[in-house]
Amino acid sequence: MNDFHSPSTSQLLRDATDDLAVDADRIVRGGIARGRTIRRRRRVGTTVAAAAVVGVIGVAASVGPGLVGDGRSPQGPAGPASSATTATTAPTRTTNSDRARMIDPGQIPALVTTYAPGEVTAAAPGTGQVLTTGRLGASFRLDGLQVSAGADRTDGTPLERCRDMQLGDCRTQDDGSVILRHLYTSDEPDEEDLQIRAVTHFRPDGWTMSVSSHNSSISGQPPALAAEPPLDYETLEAIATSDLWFDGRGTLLRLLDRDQAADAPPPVEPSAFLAVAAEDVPSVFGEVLGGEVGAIRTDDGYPLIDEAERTVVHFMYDGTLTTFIIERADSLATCAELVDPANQPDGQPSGECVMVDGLETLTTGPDLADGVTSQGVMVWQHGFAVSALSYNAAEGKDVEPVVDVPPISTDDLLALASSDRWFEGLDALSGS
Amino acid sequence: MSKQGTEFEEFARARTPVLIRSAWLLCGDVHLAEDLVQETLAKVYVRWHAPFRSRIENPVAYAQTALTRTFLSSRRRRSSTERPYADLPDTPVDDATDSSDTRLALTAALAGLAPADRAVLVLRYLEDLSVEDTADRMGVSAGAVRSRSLRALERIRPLLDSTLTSTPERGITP
Repeated sequence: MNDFHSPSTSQLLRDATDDLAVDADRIVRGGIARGRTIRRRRRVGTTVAAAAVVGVIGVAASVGPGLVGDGRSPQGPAGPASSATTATTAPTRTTNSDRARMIDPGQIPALVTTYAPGEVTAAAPGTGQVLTTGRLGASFRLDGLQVSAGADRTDGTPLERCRDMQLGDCRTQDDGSVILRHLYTSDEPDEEDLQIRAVTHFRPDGWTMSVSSHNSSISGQPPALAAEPPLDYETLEAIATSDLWFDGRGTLLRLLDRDQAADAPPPVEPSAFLAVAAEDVPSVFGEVLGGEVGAIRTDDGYPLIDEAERTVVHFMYDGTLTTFIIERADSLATCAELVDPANQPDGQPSGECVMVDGLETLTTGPDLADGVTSQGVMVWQHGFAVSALSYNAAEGKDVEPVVDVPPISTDDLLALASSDRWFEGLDALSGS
Repeated sequence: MSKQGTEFEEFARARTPVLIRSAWLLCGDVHLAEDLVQETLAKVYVRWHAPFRSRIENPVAYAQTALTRTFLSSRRRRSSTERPYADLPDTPVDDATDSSDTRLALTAALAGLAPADRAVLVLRYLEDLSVEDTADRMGVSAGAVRSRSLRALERIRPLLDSTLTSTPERGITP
């Protein structure tokens, strides 16, 4: 690679420096101490905040409570989140019940615009989509400037988690949660104008929500397009502490959208009642499919919901996990919205919407995620959406499969989800 | 310590001996070299832990580049024009750790070089970078790198056992 053939030069330099004895430990400690000092000096003002925000896919930008992830299946045990004021140590893993009630990543922009109206566009050129980072995070542009928001669960009290960030003042709230504010700047020559304003909300239930507003269109990249990030701390704090994070399936957001839209269609009332109790669902599966129907899962966050217009049950079938859900269709996104690549982490369509016997049907999978294969069907009928999912393992993720493929075929899942036996009062309501 | 912090510390420990070698050649003094390496590690630490930024693609190259640029910018701050070892002793400084005839001779030879020339020497002949990569690291043109290479090599020529040869097709004359 050298223009000059001068191996002796290289040898000379190496010989002269080979026996340089240095205390590497001391040098490294000194370097780290200086680095920490530099980071502390970059804080602006007396208020500081956490920086655990979600970055763009492919950018391992998250610090703090691991907001970058790709899990899509239920995890292990944890209790349901609550607004308890006691600061307790919460488990780390996100549970099935968490997933059921947490906002969909694709809805995060809508959550943000609820508090900060603006035009949402893709987070980075060429992607053509809002970028979602795994389980619960998204980055996008709001009026041309990047916004990132995400949530995750970790161990530790709110104060412990906040202090782990080592970014300064952690403000404890009346409900036991902790708020951290921070303004990031850079002293790199081409980044001096860049600013990122962030707020992180550490909840007693283990959830941490982080929101950041940038004055550039791409995280951490010049040029700065505004003098400062457009969202102020109060707005970021409102977003980070919002209950909309727990708006599973986007029910509240859709209702908010409807309230705000003058020509919004009215809610579609179901045309039937739910006829089968949640605890009886497994026996219906056994009756239709045969096979070995196992126990209903109520352990460690697998919810059993038996309401007038909502059924959620998880149970074992042939040693594998099965999930069955019925809920009002107007509480969900449409089939087209659910499969829209713009709402998917990988930018690929999530399933296929087809009409089967006059019913809109969404089929998904088989999909392999976190070591487990799943497949599912969702059928829209009588004002409800009926979902049936089959896994090839006893849990939704991170366990060894029991069988190679989910034991319930897509055709069988479709037959079960499209069945009228889940409903009653059809004749009366239809007037026939 | 976080995983990120542990990873940085492991990286820093692994690279410090190499960085010290380069730093010494640049500074000519072991204490200044240690100070330069600490300052470099601090900058790498900040970038390593920067939120909203991707992981450093090539941390080895990043650290070396930071070392070189930190050295050159420090020299520029101390003097408006480059001067060889302007603020360093004229005579070689005995290392607190060890001394060698080679090192002493090299120190004396390098004493007459401008900081940028020394930087080119380190990057091209210790780090074994190409002209283009050296130019990129230093933020200068390839021509400038070649010129500085010539000056640096001329300076240390008496210390070399063999004469230099050149590659005529590159248009460089010995």
